[in-house]
Amino acid sequence: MAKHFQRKGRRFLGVNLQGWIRGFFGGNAALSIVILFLICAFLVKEAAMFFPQHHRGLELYRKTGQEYVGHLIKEVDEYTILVSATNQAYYQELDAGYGAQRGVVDSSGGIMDALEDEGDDLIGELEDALDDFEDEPDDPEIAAAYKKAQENWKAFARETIAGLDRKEVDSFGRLEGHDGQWEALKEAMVDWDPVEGDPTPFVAKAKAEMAAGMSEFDAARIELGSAGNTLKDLKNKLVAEASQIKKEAVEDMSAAARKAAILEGSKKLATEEERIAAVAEAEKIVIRESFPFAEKTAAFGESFEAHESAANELKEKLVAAVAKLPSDFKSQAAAELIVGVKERTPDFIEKLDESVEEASQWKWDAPLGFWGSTMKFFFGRDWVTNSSWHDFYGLLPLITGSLLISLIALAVAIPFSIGAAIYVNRLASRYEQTFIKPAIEMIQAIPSVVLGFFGIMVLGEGLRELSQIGALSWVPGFPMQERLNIINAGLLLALMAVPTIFTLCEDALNNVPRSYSEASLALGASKLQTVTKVVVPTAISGILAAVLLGLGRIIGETMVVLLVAGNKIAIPDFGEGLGVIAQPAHTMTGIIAQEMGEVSAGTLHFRALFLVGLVLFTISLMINVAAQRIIKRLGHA
Amino acid sequence: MPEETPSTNPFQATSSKRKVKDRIGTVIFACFTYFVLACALFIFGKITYDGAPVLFTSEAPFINTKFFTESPQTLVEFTNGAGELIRMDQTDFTVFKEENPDVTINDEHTFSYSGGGIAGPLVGTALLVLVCMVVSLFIGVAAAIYLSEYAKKGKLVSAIRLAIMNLAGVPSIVYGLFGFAFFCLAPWFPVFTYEVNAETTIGAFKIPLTDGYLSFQGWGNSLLAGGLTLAVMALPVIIAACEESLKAVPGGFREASLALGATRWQCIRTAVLPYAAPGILTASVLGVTRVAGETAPIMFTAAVADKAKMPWQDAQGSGVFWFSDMLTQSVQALPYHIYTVSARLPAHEAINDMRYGSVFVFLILVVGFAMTSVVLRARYRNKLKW
Repeated sequence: MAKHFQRKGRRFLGVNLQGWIRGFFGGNAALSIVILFLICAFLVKEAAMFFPQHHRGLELYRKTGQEYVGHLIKEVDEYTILVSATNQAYYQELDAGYGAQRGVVDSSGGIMDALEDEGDDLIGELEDALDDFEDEPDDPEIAAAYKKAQENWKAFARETIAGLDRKEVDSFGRLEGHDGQWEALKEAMVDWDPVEGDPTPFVAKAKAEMAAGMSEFDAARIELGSAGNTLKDLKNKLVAEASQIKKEAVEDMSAAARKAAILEGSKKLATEEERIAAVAEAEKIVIRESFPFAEKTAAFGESFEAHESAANELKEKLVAAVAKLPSDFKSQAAAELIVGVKERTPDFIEKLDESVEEASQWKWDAPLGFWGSTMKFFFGRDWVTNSSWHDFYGLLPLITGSLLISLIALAVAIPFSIGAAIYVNRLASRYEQTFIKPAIEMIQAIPSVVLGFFGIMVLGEGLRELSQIGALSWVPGFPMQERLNIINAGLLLALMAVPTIFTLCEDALNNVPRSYSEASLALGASKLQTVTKVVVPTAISGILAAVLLGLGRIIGETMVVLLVAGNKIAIPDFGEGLGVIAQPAHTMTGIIAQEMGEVSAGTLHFRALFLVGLVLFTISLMINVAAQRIIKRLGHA
Repeated sequence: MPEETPSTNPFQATSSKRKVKDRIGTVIFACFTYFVLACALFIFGKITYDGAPVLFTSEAPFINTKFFTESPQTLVEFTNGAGELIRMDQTDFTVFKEENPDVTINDEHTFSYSGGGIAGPLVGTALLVLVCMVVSLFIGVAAAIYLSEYAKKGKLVSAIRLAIMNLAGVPSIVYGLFGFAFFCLAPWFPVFTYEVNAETTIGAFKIPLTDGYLSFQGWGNSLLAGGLTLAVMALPVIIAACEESLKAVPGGFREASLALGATRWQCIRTAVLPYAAPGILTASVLGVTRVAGETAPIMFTAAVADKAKMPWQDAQGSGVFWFSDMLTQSVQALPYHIYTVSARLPAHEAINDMRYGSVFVFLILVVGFAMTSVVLRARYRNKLKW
C-alpha cells in the first residue's frame, strides 16, 4: 500500500533527483561557512608568517647595534623638535617686532637679484670701466667713460626698480602697510653699487636695527641650537657604522645562496673560460659560519661613555640656553611656542636620562624572546616602512587612531540615533513616521567615499573656519591647525552610524510589549515618563546591541578615515587633553587601503598589513558576537 | 491657615508643569531627529548645488554629453597672451597647439584624470556590479531556498546562520584583503589565453582546434576578481532579503501543492518562487545598493585609475578567449575614480568640476537604487497580503 506513495525516480550515487536538488541548495547555503572559513584561513596564513619574519628582523636590528643607535636617533629627534619650535618662535617674534626691517632686508635681496639678472651687461661694462679707471685714474677720457657707465647704471636701476612688481619682490607681504619703507627702499636701491655688492646704508641700518633688537633672543636660540652638536655628531657617526654593519650582515647571510646561484649559472655558460671565471668568482664569496657581530659592534659598547657625556653636555647647555630665552614677546604665537619649549624641557631631560640608561643596557647578544618581538608588534609605537634604516611595524598608533575616531563617532551618534529612534517610535505623529524612517535609512545609502569627499571639500574647511572664531576658543582643540583630523572623521562616521543604530534601536523599541506602555499610561504617567522609565529600560538590551553593531560598522569603515583622518602615523598627543581631537591620525583600515597597493606579495610589509586585517577582523567578530550574546541573554519577549 | 485638600477627581487634568516637561522632552527628541535629517539634506544639497552645473548645460541638449561619453584624461590649464585662463583636455590641447603654433601659452599646468568624462568609470562600475549580482543572486537565492524550504533545525543550519550573521559584520576592507589574496594572487583560477603565463601552477592545457590554452594561472587584478569579492560581500544581505521574501509566501501554498502530489522541487518552483519573485527583485536591488557604493573591496582587486579603452575594446582574441580576456582586465570604477581625484590630487580649483560632477552622478545612482529598493519593498508589502 505504501508503495503507491513511494517516489520513483532514477538514483545516482544512491541519491535520487530530489536529494540532489536538496543537496545543491544546501551546498550553496553551506558556502557561507566555507567563505567565512576561507577569509579566516587566508588572513591567518599570511599573518602567521609575519611573526617569524618580524622576529628575525628585530634580532638583526639588535645584533647590528641599530637598536642601540636607535636610542640616539630618538634623542636627537626629540631635541630637534625643541630647536625647531624655538626657531619658529624666533621668526614669529621677528616678524611681529621688526617686520618692516625684515621686509626691507628681504626685499633688497629681491631687488638686487632682479638688477643683477637684467643688468648683467651693464654691470660688466661698469666693472671694465672701473678697472680702467683704477689703472689710470688721471686719464680724463677714462674717467668720463667711468662716469658715463655709472650714470647708465643708475638710469637703468631707476627704471628697473620702478617697473618691479612689489608682490613678487616682497613675496611674504612683510612690507604691506609700510609704504614709506618701500618707497625709501626703492630710492635707496638706486644708489646700490653692483660691483662691490655691499648693501646700501639704508638696508644696513634696517639689518642693524633687527640684530640689535633681537640679539638676546638670537643668541639664546643659537646657543640652544648648538647645544646638541656633540650628540648629533656621535649619532651620525654611529648611524653610519651601524648601517655598514647591517649591510655586511645582510650580504653575509645571502652569501651561500649567491654562491650556489653563480655555480648553477656557470654550468650554462658557453665557453670553458667563462665557466672557470664564474667558478673563480664564486670561490671569492666567503661563507662564514656566523657573522662576527661581537667584533663588529664592539665600538658601540665603548661609546656608552661618550654617549653619556654628550647627553650631559646637551642637558647643561640646554638648561642654560632655555634660561636665557626671553619671556616678553610681541607675538602671541611666539610666546606660546616658547612657553611650550620651557614646559617640555624638563620632560625632555627626564626622557633623555631614561633613554641613555636604556641604551647602555644594550648587548648585541641579549636574547630576544619570541614573546618580546610579538609584543613589539602589538605595542610598538612606530609604524615606519620603506626606510633605509629599519622598518618598524607597531600597531599602537593605528589602533589608537581607530579607537579614538570610533569612540568620538559613537559618542556623537548615540544621542542622535537613540533620540531619533525614540521620537519616531513613540512620540512622532503617523505622518512624520512615514517620511523620517525611510529618510534616515537613505543616509545609509550615501557611499562612504562621497562622505569622505564631503569631509575634504566642505566639512574640513568649515570646521577650521568655525574654530578660528574667537568666541569659540574654549572648545577643546580650537583653533585647529589641520583641516583633516580626528574630529572631522569622527563626525562623518557618526552620520554613517546613525542609520544602523537607529534601525536596530527602533526594532528593539518595537519589541517592547504594548501592555507595558499601556499599563504605565494607565497609571497616570505621561508619554515621556512612559518612554524614559518603562519602554527604554525594557528595550535596553536591544539598544545596547544596536550601539555595539554601530561600533562595528564604524571601526571597519575605510574610505572616510582614509580620506579625512589626516593619515599621520603617530600616536596622538594626549597631553592636550580633549584637544587631541583636532590632531590628524591614521587607522587600521586606512593603512591597509593606503599601503596594500604598493607592496609585493610575501614581503614583511605585506604580511604586516594582513595581520592588521586579522586584528580588525577579530575585533569586528568579537563585537558581533557580543551583540548577539546581549540580545540572547538579556532579551525580553 | 486652610489646609490644601488633596484632589479627589481622578479625571482632573495633569499639572501644567508636567505637561511643559513632556513637551520640552518631545521637542528635544524631535530636534535630534531633524538635525540628523538636516545634515543629510545639507550634504545632498551641497553636492547637487556644485555638481549639477557640471552635468547640465544651458543649451540643447541640456546635458553635458561629453561628461558621459568620454573617459577621464589629463586636463591642461594655461593662460593665453591676453591673460585669459583656459582649460582644455590634453587631446584638444595637442590639436590646439598644432593649429595655432603662434599662440602664447603661459603658466601651463596639467592635472591627471581631471579632464574628459566619466564613461570609463561608469562602465567599469556597471560591469563590476553585473558580475557581482549574477554570482551573488545565484548563490544567494539557492542558499535562501535551502534555509527557508528544506532546512530543519540542526547543527548545520545554525552554523550557517551564525556564519551569515558574522559575514555581515566583516569590514569591507577585510573583504578586499581576502579577495586580493584569494582571487587575485592565488595562482589556481583558470583563464582561456593564447599566452601561458609563467605563474601557472596546475598547468596549461591546449584547446583543440585553436591556438589557445586553458591555463590555471590566476586572475590577477581583474573585473572578475573584483566582482566576486563584491559578490561575497553582498551575499549576507541577499540571503537575508531572499529568505524573508520566501518566508512571506504562506505555508498553505506549499501544503496545497504537496498535497496534490508535487515533489518538493515542483512545489518550490511552481508554488513558492513565482510569489517570492518580487521580493527577490527587491533583494537584488538592495544588494546593488550595498555593493555599488563600496570602494575598499575593489581598490586592490579590480580598480585602476587610468585606462584608455573600454574592457571589451581592449580584449584580445575571439569567442571564449575574448570573453575570458575581458573578464580578466582591470577596470576603472566610479568610486575609485572619486577617491583618486579627491584624495590623490592636490587641492586645485581646476579639478573641482570633475570632482563634484562624478560625486554627484555617483550619489544619484546609488541613492536612486536605494530609493527604488525602498519603494519596491513598500509596494510589495502592501500588495501581497494573503
